Amino acid sequence: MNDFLKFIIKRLVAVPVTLFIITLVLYGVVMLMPREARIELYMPETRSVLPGWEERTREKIIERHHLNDSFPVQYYYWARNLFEGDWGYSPSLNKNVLPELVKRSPVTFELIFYALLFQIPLGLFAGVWSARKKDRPLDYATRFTAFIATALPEFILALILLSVFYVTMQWFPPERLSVNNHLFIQSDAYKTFTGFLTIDGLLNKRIDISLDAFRHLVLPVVTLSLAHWATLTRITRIQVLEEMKKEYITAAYARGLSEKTVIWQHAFRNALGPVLSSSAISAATLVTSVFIVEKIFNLKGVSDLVTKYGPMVPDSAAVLGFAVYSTLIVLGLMLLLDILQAIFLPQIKEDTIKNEFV
Amino acid sequence: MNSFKHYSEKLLQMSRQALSEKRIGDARRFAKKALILNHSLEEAWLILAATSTPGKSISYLQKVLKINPGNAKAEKGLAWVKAQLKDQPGKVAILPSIRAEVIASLNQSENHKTKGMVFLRRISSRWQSILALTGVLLIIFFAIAAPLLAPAVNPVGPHWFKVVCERLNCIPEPPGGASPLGTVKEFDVYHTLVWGVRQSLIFGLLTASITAFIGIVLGLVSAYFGGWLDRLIMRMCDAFFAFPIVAGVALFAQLSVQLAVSNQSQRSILMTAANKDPNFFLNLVTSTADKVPNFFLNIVMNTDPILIALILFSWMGYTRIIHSQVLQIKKEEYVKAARACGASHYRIIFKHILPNSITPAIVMATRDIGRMVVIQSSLTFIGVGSSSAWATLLNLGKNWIIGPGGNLLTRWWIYLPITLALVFFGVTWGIVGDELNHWMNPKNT
Repeated sequence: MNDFLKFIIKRLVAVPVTLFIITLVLYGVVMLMPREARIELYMPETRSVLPGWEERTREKIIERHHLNDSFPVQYYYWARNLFEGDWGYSPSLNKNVLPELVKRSPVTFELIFYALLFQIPLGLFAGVWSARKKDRPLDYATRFTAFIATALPEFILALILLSVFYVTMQWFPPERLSVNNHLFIQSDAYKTFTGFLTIDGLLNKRIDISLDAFRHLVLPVVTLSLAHWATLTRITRIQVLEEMKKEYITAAYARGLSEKTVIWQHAFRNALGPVLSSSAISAATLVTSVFIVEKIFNLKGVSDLVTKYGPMVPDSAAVLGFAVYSTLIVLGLMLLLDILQAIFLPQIKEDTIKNEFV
Repeated sequence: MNSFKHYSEKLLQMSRQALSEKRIGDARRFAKKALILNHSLEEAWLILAATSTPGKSISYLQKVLKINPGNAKAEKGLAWVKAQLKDQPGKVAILPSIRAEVIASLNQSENHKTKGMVFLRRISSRWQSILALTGVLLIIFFAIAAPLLAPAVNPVGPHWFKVVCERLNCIPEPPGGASPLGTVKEFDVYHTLVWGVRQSLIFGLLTASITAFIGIVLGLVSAYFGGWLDRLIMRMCDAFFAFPIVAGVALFAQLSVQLAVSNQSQRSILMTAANKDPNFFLNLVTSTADKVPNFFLNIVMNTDPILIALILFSWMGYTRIIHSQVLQIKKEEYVKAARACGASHYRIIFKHILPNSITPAIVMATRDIGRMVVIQSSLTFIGVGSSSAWATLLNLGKNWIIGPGGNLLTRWWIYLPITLALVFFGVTWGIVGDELNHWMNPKNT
């Protein structure tokens, strides 16, 4: 338990350090922008049409946030604001940035959650199965599917799936909900608990909403899972094959254990470490592809802030907020996968500590 | 492993030299040493055969035939030796005249076996390598021959698109007539397909090489010098890994648009103009790009944000891989020896460490050429950035596939040629990376 706590604390300490480096770089880029753009980061939400109001506010902001000072001073005031939850006002959305991000995040989280839930067991199982049936038709089929899934860019896969299963078959539509359910969740009768429509539907005793949400989630989750599933399968297969060569496996067979036991209890368990740490590393790519999938399936998630009008509209608060927030999502995801790994695979944990902090 | 190959080649050369100078004993010794390092050197076996008794040379020649069944010299030699042994079973040594004949034939063969021939023969022994080479040659051919395959419309500007329909509401036309692969809105698919190869190749090479350079330098510096610099760079690696590329592209696009807008006084007027024209800000950036006085900012405004973001946020893989390689090699005896001899840091890094650690980074960079282009097109497709012609065309045509009444089969020309091109591009560079890995780093395969 002591080791476990140490591991968690070390991971937790790493998060602010990472965040500090990233925000430093981000604000470094913002410093290259003209001062006007930086004023936007602090504009209040409530505006007045009184003559001269805007000029006066701008001057006040420059003075209050030291926008004429050097980089460290400006960074300090910006980071403090960030920490206090004031992420600036977005002119293109006409709203404050942080509430908008928070409002949209359940969509993104739900998508990531189901994609991971779908792809990790599937990837592990397919990888082990493929290793067990090495050089047999099933192995070739799995490897070929994995190859196609990695070769095909996600947005093209999404296009093809949408065209077949939505336009032609009418099975799985895009967006989050059907129109009448969407109207219901905006009414007062509906209470939001978690923001996940699939769970909130059940909590509101409306199972049809949950089912409808699941139906809308099928295509995005499949698109998102396929590419990452392929990577996971390949790594699992290689690791299991590697373990199968070792002597303890021969010894296990010699003791008369069945093939199933040897593979799942011995080889698979020891192969899991590298597999899970590689899936933690791919978290950043997962989040990037979440944004791609969100846009194509018209799910108004976190990325909506930059893809709605495109980043080519002067709105530095929204873009900077999005950058910080998506980094936070990746860090959270990595931390979560690390902790899960430490809980479920205690024997791997020390190895990970060594790998991460040499 | 690489150094082994290098030394065995060198020993073979020395053996050849000795043979041509009639130093038979030296030639034998060098050939044997070369064979210890690399068992599959045909020529070394031949030299051994030529310098030993007929009885022993039979086994040497048979080894050559096992490595390369088509070696004519070995077959000839074997037939000759067998004939010799039949005539005089008690003969002990090869006659000096025969020796001279073998030497002459070896020297002669050296002349017409060029490096290119060796390369081609080795490549053609693996079908994956043939595939990789063909794919790369095809891509380079399309990239170079684009003006011949699809004549450019306007002489100066970007050539990626050709307008074939001048009306206001153009619908996608099936293949036929002037456009062999159909049209999407007002643009010709074939034209963009061909020119897109050039654009993608340039983008991929540029991003992969710059990223690899930055990553390799940082990895070398951090692992070689160690200390706080090492910790800082590795920590930065972790941090940059956590940064999604979409946000980076958005940030740099924002930077250039803010710089363009900064010259204008009334922002609200700009927004109303932008509502009328969706490309308003893009045009604003291109029109004001050259007026920015700062040299660095000028580069930022004139460069594609996707390119900048990809370079800035994907060097970490190279740094990590070089870092771990260098840490291993630093412990090797020959590095210690070089240091003991008083070699400079510069010499140790560039003569000993870099040549032995760079292979995985080169393999990674090759794979990245395809990967970067796929990322570029994905980002362009969702509207963050606008630099990939292929993805722009797909984006223009997507409503005819996934919009109401869209169909995958009857409107195949909208997406299929471009999808195939993109997949081909990505897969080819992936296979090239695998093959480079196979040839340069036999340990890992």
